Amino acid sequence: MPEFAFELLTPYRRLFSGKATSIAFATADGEIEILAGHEPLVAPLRVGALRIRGPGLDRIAAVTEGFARIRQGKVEIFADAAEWPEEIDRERAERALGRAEKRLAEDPQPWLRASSELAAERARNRMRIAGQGRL
Amino acid sequence: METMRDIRNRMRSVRQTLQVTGAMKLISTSKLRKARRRLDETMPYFDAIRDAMRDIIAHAEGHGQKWFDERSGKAPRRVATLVVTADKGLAGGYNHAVIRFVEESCPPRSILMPVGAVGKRHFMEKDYVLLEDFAVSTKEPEVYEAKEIASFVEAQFSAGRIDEFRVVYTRMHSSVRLEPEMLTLLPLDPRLLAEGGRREREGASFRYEPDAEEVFDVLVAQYLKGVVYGALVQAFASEQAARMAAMDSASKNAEDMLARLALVYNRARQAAITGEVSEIVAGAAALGD
Repeated sequence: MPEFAFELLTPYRRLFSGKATSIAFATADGEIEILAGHEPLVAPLRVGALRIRGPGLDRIAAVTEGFARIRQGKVEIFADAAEWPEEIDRERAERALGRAEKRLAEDPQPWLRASSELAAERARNRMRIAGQGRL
Repeated sequence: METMRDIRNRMRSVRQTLQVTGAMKLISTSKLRKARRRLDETMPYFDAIRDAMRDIIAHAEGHGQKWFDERSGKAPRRVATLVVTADKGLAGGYNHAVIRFVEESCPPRSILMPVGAVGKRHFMEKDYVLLEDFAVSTKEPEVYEAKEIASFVEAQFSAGRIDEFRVVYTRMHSSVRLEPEMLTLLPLDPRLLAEGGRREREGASFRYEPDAEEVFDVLVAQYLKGVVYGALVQAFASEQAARMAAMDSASKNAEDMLARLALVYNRARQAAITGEVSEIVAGAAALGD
């Protein structure tokens, strides 16, 4: 399969930089898969799983909000945070989920709800991916 | 002339000061090391996101107009500046350089958003409007703090309450070259961003999913957050470098002063001994007569 250059960047570090043959992630419209030769595209990234496949490579990472830029021969994903499954701190994610659910239960202010719901989604996503490991 | 006791007291106080400056130097050295690592990890993101924005803006073709609008006809045109200083002093010229830079580049009554207690306390007493206190503490900056600032600015800009947003922070060119710098983040400036945009001519325009306006809103939010975070990290590293240098030279001065005082002390001690000996000699001579 044809390859392309792929980079996964977060403000804290560069999680991945190398060759890939397929990248799958969640956008506002649903899951998309990028193969070599994809048309130039800019799309927001949703909280979810990011799957990277390449020569001898099949990995999954937990990602939070960001965006993807696809240019000929190069794909870049900018995310607020991204982790490999083995790096995820499950206890921390559970605590974050507990905090977010508590906030949702006791403070139903609409403008606070949105951020609490996102926080809960991030925590659930991390817990889900921590359990998956290598596919 | 100072007595031996005076000199001893001064030496003790200098020694205590030396202990403090020495400890502060060690602390900022280790903080600087951490900050440097954080900076090295952030820079690829910082550079790549600016590069991506340049590319996207060069091919924007009329999308995301509200983020480019300079609102030049509007009066008064409100300019807000995020000013990053430290929470503490004792960092040489670090805080002062930022403050002077702001006073030179922001006319009276312009809007400032101070980050860091030193800047806030200073500008509170001056002829500026302080918009919000984003209490980012002296610990390492975190992305969610940048996110808070970015979403505040985004909302204020969208609602037309501010027309321009800039960031003043200290850039660390090297550990001895720290310079305040200003970045204009909003409105997006196609000329500024196109500078050095080597991909300008390359390739066709982008497709946006789900639609261009929505994508632009997300992009701008991510871009603001990324650049503000980068600036906070730069400023934090600069602060540590400045404090380390300041405490290093303070420690050196204290050591020099101790050496000088030791000399003066020994001289005073010698003078006292000489005095006593001559008294004894004189007394003995008087008795002998």
